[in-house]
Amino acid sequence: MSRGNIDKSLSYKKKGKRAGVGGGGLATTDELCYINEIPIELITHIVSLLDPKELSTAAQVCKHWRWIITDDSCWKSAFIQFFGCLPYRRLASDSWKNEYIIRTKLLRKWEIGRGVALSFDPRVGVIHNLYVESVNSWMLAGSLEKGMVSRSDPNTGKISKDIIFSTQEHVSHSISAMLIDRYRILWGYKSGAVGLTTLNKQGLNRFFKQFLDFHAGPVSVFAWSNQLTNTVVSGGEDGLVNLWDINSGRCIESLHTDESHGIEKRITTLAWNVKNYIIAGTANGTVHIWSLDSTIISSSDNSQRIENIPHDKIVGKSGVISLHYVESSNALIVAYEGISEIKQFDLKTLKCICVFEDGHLGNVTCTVIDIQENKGSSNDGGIKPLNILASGDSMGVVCLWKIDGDKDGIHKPFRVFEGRLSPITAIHFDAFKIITGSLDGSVIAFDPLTSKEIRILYQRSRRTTNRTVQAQDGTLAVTCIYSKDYRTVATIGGQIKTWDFSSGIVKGNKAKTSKKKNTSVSTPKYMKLKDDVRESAQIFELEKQEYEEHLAKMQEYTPISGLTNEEMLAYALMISKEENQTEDDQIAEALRRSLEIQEKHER
Amino acid sequence: MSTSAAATNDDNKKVTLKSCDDVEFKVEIPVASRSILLKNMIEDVGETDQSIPLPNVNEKVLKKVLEWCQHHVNDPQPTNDDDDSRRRNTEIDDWDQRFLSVEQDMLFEIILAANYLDIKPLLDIGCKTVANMIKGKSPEEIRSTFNIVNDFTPEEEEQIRKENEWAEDR
Repeated sequence: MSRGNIDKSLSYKKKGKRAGVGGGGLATTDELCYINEIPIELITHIVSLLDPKELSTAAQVCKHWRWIITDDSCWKSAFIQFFGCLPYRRLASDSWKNEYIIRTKLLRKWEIGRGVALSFDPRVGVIHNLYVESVNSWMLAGSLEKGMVSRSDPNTGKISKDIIFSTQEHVSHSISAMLIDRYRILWGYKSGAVGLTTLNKQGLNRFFKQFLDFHAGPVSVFAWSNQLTNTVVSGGEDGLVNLWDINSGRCIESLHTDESHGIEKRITTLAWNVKNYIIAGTANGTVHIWSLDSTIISSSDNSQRIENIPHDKIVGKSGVISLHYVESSNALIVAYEGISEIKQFDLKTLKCICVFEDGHLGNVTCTVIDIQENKGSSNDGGIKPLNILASGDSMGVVCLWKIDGDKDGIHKPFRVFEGRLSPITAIHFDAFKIITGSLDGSVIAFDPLTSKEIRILYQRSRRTTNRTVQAQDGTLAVTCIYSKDYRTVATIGGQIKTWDFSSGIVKGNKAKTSKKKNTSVSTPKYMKLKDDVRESAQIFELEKQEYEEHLAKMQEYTPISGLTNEEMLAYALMISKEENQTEDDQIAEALRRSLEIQEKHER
Repeated sequence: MSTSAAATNDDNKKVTLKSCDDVEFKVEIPVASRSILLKNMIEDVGETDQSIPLPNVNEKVLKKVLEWCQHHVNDPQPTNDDDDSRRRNTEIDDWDQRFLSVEQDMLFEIILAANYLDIKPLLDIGCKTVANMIKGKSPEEIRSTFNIVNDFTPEEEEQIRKENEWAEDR
C-alpha cells in the first residue's frame, strides 16, 4: 500500500470528525506555531517517521498531537515507514502500536543485544532431533548413531546425568529413526522394531515399551499428530507405512507401496492428515497417497483391517525430500532431491498445479511450511494471513513463497535471503524472523520483512582447519533450530548452542512483565565485560577441545602421522574407492597402501 | 519577476506557472514535471500558452520549490511503493539539507506546497527534516522548538506520563 493511500484515507476519516487544525496547540507568543497549521495527514506523515519511543514522547506534546497519535493508523503508517511493508504474521494483533513497539524492540535486542550464548556437548554424538520445553526450561536432544537422548537445561547448559536410552537394558544402540515431542520419544531400529519411551511433564520418570510388530527392514521415518495421540505412523526401508496403536503396541494398519522388486522403496518422508490422508514420499521419487480417516482405524477393533484403501501415486524423477499437506486448498507441496524447484499438486486431480521456481541457485535441501490457521481475518487488522513456504538450497539461499491455492502456474519467491554458499540444513520461521542453519555450522537470523540480516548467531572461525573435511562429514552441520521470542537453541553436530537476548527481562516477557524495570541496567559495566571475557574464553576453550578431539580422531584413522594434507586426501580417496570390499580386505589393503606411502615418504 | 523567464529562445518546451500572488514563472517541462500534479496537467492539456494558476502557492515558495525541481530534474521518477526502499532512510543529502535550512514558516510552506503539487521526494525530505527536529527531544523541548503551547492540565500530564511509562522500558 502506498503511503499516499493511507494519508488520503486518514484525512478523509478525520476531516469528518474535526474540521479545523491546530486549535489547541496554537501559540500565543509572538512567534507562530507553524507546525500545527498544516493538515493532520502531514503531521501524521511527519510523526510516522519516528521510532516507538519518540512517537510516545510526541504524544505528550499537546492535545492536538496526542489526538493524532492516539489513532492506531498513525502507528500503522509508522510501522510501514520503518519496515517498508506490513507483517505476514502479527506479533500483537490488538493494535499497531503494540506491533510496532514489540517488533522494533525484538529487532533492537537481536541486532545489538549482547545475548547470552551457551555452548555445550550433551555427549550423545551427532544430534538429529531436538525438543525444547521453554516454559519449564528443559530440552531433549537425541542422536541416531548412539540411540540416546540427553536432557539438559537451555538456560544453564546443565546436562542431566541420566541419559535416556533406546533399549530396555539402558545401553547405547544405534537406531535408524527417531521422533521426540513433549512427553514421548519414538525409536525406530535398524532391525525394523519400534520402541516408545514415555516421559512425565518434567521429562523424567520414563517408561520404555517395545512395540509388538515389525517393519521388514530399518525404520526410516515417523509421524504423529496432535489430534490423534494414541496412534503413530512409521515408514520403513521395506516400503511399508504402518499405523501403530500406542496402547497395545500393535500395528493396526499396514499400507503397501506395491513397488516392483529391485526399486529403492525406502520411505523418506511422511505427511499425515488424521482425517483425510496418509502420504509417503519414497527414495525413488514416488509419492504415495492413501485416502483414509485414521480415527476410524484407531477406534475400530484391532483385528479388523479396512480393505481397499484408495491408493494414488504421483511419480517423480528423484527422491522425495519433503512433503507438506495444505488442508485449506487440499494441496500437496513436494520437494525432490537434486532439483531447484518445488512442486505443488492438487490432491483431487493429482495434477501439478504450480511450480515454485526462479529463486534457488542450487538444489532444494530443506523446506519448512507455515500455515496460518483461519481464525477469521477481522482481528488481524484486515491483513489476509499468508501461508508461507520457506525453502533452502545447496548454495545457501533461502526463499520465502506465498502458498496460494487459488493461483496456478509459476510462483516466484517474495523474499530471497543470500546465505554463505553452504547448503541449508535447517530453517526456523516465525512471525518475527527466519533463522537458517547450514552444513558448515553457521546460524544466521534474517528479518523477513526487510530481507536484511539481523544477526549472525554463529559462524565457524576460519582458523579451524579441516573445516571442509568436517563439513563433508556433516559433523558440524546445523541439524535443528528452535526459537521463541528472545531464545534460540540450535544443534550443530554434537553440540548444543543456545542464545538468549532477553538480557535481564523476566521470563515470559511481553507487555505485562516488561513494566518491571530492567534489572541488567543496574549491573555495572565492568561486570558485563567480565562476563563477556569469561564467555568467550569458555567458547574458545570448547573449540580448542573440540579441535584436539578431532585431531586425535584423525590420528586414530591415520596409520602414520606426519602426512601432508594432500597425502591424507589421497589416502581418504583410496579408502572410499574400496568401500565395496569386505572389511578385512579393506584393512589389509589399507595397511599395505599405508606402508607403501610410508616408504615413499621415507625415500 | 523574470528570473527564470529570462530565457525566451526555447519557449515551446516551457510552461508558465502562476503563483497565487500573480507572479509568472516560465519553467522547462521536465522541471515542472517533478510535480505529479503539473505533469498530469501538462499531459492532459498538451502544449498551451496559457499559464497554469497555482492558487495555493505564493511566489516565494514557488521559487524555492522550482529551485529544488531544477536541481533534481534528472533524478529517477519515484516508482510506486518500490520494494527495495525498505526500512526508512533518515539521511538527507547535503544539498537538500542546505536547501531546507530555512525558517520554520518557509519549511512548512515547502511541505504544504510539495504535498499540493504532489512532489513526493520533496515532501519526504521535508517531513524527515521536521521529524529530525523532533527526534531525541523531551516533550518540553519539542514544544519550544515549534512554539507549541502545552494545553494539558497538570492532572492530564501526569496521567499521560504514566500511560507512557511502559513504553519507555522498551
